[in-house]
Amino acid sequence: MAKVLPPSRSTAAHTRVENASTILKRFYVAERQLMRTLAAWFVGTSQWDLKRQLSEDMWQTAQHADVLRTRVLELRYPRRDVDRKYDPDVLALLAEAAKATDSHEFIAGAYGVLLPALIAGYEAYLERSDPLDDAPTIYRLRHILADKLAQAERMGALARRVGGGDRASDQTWRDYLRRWVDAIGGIDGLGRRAEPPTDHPCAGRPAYDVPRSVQRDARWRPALFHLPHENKYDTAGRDAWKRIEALDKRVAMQVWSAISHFNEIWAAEVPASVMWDLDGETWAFYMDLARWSWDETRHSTMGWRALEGWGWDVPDLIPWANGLYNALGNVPARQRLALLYYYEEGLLRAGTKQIEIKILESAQDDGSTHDMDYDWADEAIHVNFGYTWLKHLLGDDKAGREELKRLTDEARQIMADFIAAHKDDPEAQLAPYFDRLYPVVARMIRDIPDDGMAIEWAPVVADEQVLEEL
Amino acid sequence: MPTIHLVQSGVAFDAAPDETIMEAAERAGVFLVHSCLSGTCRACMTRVLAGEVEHDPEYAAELNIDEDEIEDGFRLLCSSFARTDVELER
Repeated sequence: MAKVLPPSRSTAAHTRVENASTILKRFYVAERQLMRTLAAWFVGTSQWDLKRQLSEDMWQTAQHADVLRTRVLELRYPRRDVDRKYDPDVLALLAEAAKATDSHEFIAGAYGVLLPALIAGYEAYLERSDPLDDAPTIYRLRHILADKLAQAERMGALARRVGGGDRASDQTWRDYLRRWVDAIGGIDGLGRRAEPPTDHPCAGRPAYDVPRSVQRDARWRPALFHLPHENKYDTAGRDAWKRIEALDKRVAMQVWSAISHFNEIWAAEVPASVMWDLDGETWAFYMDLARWSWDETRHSTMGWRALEGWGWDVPDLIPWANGLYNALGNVPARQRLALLYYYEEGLLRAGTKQIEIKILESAQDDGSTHDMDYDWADEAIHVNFGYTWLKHLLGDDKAGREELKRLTDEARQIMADFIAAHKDDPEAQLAPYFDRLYPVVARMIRDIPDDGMAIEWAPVVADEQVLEEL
Repeated sequence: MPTIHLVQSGVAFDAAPDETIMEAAERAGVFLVHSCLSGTCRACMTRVLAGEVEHDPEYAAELNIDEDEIEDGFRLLCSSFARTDVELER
């Protein structure tokens, strides 16, 4: 007989390091795929309130995945395997969750089944884990859990408010996904496994793909472009804009920056769609693109907040365009990213943001100045992302740089062809918007002391010569 | 103290050996396009027409500028020191 002291305490099952890293890896895989799925459905969702919430939740989900991945690696998990050997049953569940038929159904499934399943998994982990031995995990999971609970509550309230997620078909979809969660033994994989619901009415749908063409919120009229500098053929739109500009170029800058910000949603959709198209890249790629996409949604929200703040009927007065996304929706992901990077680096190198801030300061518009200041900081980060990841995708050498130039030039030509092909479409004409907007703006303007600032900045100044500088 | 000449705008200002060209411009009240101030956003990338401009050796390897851009005379002014009088394409 061997001699031992009695154990000073007992521990729960599934809490040794190897168990913990395996379970946390499943959580990481689930969050990683949920992030990509939220990104894709953000692109596929037109209703504005739901769209921007999906974007924020996508970014938060990226943070959750990152924290879990970091902790997995702290628990003797091989670095070479953390982004391989993804649990196939977790991948299968998330692939099914993406196959919703519309945004309301997707939200019903993601927030009505997946999030509760993740929350249950996190709560169970916290319940059984040793508060001293596994303290670093507990600290992180408590924060993730708080986020998840808030996400579920917030989106639930939002979906109820906009009137979706409670159709019979949504309930059927939730039932299908619940049976899938049961089939994999819960997200942590520790539960009893049922049979996959292959006999369910929702089974057998084709694989989801991110939309190549997007629609805007139905409250807005369809629009391809949002400001005159986008479409050189729209002389009526440019003339209508000049009336606003004639009030004062500071006024034009205030209006322009809000409309421009609001329409940055396409710049959020591009990296989100790339996150879906390019699976299997290194983890930091997704972290950066998730941030890029969420930042651009924030910028869009900045514009919307400013326009609403002036008390305007935004859907009636402001174009919300989809041409920038749709023109390039079908080109390869790296080419969409290349064009976005080209635009963003070009804006920074031209000093655009600095000049815009000076004009907004001259207008004494604290809110718009503040928005633009943070936009400027964000865009600098985005150029770093674009520079870094296009090198990763295309090669950090002369051939890679040549390919980047080729892709960019080709994308610019595709965009130019798109504009020319649609120049006579009713959706391409901006004059009706600015004609409606002009009296609204004219009624609101007020006098301030003129600081004498000379403003000659395209595209605020709708002058042919100044526009040539673009 | 090296003098920085902006050829296109005709402006000149001095730069101390331990301050970046961007810092020197700001001290002199000269507007130069910039953004991140860390050598990653490329907003301040400018061609050096004459003189010697050195990227900060502490983090030269981390700057977002390509070798062929450096060979073509470009520098990131937020992360560069003037080692002689210089002329910049600005």
